Amino acid sequence: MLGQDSPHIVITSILEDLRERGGDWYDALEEISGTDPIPGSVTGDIREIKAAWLDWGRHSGYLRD
Amino acid sequence: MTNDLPPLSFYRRSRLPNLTDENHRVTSPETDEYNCAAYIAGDLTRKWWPHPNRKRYFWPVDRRDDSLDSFEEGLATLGYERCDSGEPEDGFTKIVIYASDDVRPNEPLHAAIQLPNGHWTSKLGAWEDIEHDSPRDVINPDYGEPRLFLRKRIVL
Repeated sequence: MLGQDSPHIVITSILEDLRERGGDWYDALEEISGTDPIPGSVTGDIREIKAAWLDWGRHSGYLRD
Repeated sequence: MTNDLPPLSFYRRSRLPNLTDENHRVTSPETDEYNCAAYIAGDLTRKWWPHPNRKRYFWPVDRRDDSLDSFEEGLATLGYERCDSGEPEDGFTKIVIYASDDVRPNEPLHAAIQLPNGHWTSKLGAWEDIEHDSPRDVINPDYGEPRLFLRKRIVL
């Protein structure tokens, strides 16, 4: 059974996988976290999208450098 | 067809049952930095799709309803017009858009572009790019089958 810390664990796990291997995790991250850190100036550049999510993960305490 | 790139994995080949060792070759390493729609547009820096999320997907026109019509309208900005088939035509390059009646008949699922040698080339989602002999070589349940052909006059 998942506890109240589960979203944190899941987001960390997804972000670590995104950092290590890439992958199309963005719908899941948006759904679970309830946020969208991608700047409005981005238009499909996956490197910018990935960087925005990893920056958000570090600043929000989900990822360590 | 061979080159120095590794072949598609067993799993990927299993998802593309029309591919044989003879009718395709891998032409790039796998990457998720662009998709099939970006590939046919010649843009390997981002993902293209007529998806409502403008940050996640570039599309050259406002219409973003994930339809074959939105593909036709978007690719018209690059000079493409509807045509009858993927048969090679002197002076034209062609694009094929795939759809499936099992998914939604008007929903684009894949795209490929014709090469000057008459073969075709596809970016397989987040997998590799391949060159394949004909549009039918990448028919599968995920992509559906060739549904819309577009052509563009080659300007020399």
